[in-house]
Amino acid sequence: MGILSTFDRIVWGFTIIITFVVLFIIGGGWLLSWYPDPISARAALIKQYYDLVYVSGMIVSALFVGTFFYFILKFWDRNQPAGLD
Amino acid sequence: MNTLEKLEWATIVGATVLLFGLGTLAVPVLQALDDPDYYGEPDYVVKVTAEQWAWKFTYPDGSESGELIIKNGDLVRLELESPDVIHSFYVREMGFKVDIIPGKTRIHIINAETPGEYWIQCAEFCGAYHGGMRTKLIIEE
Repeated sequence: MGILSTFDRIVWGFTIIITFVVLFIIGGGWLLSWYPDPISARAALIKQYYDLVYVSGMIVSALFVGTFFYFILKFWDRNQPAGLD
Repeated sequence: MNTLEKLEWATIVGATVLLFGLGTLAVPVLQALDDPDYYGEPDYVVKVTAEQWAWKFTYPDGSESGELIIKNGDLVRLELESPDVIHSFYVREMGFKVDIIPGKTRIHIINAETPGEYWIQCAEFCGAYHGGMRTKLIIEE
């Protein structure tokens, strides 16, 4: 099982998925931003590439944020008192 | 190899693949955007003059209009010039902008494939009435 518990892995996984969805929406994805249909083959080619860059950026950003949580969970010393009690 | 080393290698390999993958896929897009010879010989040339705050289109027969009117299927070479400040020729449905810099002639080829009326909007702030500097691209049947 290693250092990470099942809960840790679930948090890590959800962080990646939720970050992806949030970036997709606030970044003006297909759901929120209207954009006219391309009227030429070149415009379609450009749009296809920009969509690819957009999705790739979201995946990388989600992995980045997810990895941040991964490190927090991995190196979190749970035996250390929180100082609040 | 521990987990951190695996993660480090996965990041390095992943980033490299992504960088070169997107770079390779960008080449045909950049060629289509920037290479004036990409579509071959154009059917005719239209001179585009962008000035504060209007568009003027001059056709091969010397006629002029305030709207760009072309026929469906035409391959049109636009020669864009500005006598005053920087403007930008933007047709949203065509997916590109061309900055028009005073003293230079910018070349852009457009391929009319879908009849209709589309906005041409100046996309570079050019003064008080920049927002009103727009006209129509009319692609006739």
